[in-house]
Amino acid sequence: MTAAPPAFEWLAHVRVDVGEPQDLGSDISGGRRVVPILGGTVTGGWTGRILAGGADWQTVLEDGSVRIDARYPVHLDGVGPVLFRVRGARPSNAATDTFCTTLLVDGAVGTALGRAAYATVGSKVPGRIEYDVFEIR
Amino acid sequence: MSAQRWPAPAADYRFTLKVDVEPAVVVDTTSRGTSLFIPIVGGTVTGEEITAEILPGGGDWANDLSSGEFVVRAKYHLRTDDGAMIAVDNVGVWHERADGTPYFVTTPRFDAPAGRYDWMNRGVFVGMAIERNPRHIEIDVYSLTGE
Repeated sequence: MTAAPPAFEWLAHVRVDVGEPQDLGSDISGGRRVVPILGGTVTGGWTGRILAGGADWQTVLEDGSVRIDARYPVHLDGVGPVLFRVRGARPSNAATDTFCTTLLVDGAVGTALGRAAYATVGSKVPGRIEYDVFEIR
Repeated sequence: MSAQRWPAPAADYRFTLKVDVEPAVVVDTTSRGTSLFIPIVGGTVTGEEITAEILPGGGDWANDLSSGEFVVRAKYHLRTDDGAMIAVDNVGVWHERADGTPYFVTTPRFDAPAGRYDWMNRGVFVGMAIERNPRHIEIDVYSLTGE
């Protein structure tokens, strides 16, 4: 090992409202679908709201697990509009188990937000995903 | 509901990417920063579960932002010692902290064939990176799990 291991500092709690997945067929990676992101809230150390227009471009692997690749606009108080880029995976679309993702924030040039990478831990119920955001230190 | 609901994820060390690069080529410069292309020319992967070489031909598309941070996206391939080809897509951010130490964290994603390396497809990974010298970057890759 060379660099220090990651440490995590809790920053915010996010609730994402999502619509029904749209099937897109499949490609070399697996089944493809897109899930529209309808809105939501950010609370805690960051505050704001999720704007409509984003989506999660998912790949469904052979064992049913889902690769997450989401981009969605967020208005953060004191910062303005930014883009959340989320990549991760969860066991299946039906699972309510806890899952992790990574998060990068685009558009917050010059603020502390855009200078760091983040990890999230959360879970999904029908129509909604909730997660906690941790700064990776 | 502004309170923390879940504990921080667990991070388990998996392997280290040791990447050899050549000097950056400047692509464009604007008031918002400079876009660069950094050729990836080789390297190795070491870990308990994987031993591989980094193939030449990949690259790192980096933006040196006028606000002081670098945002990087590297795409390249690994070939394991048992012949599996794995694609790497690694996005990350670098900046210099107030105390002068570097912050360099990435979020790699892997595409691996079915079989021995399938765990790389469904994991969630964080890379803790160090630029050893201008021609060599090392990234310790951890997998994240929640409770």
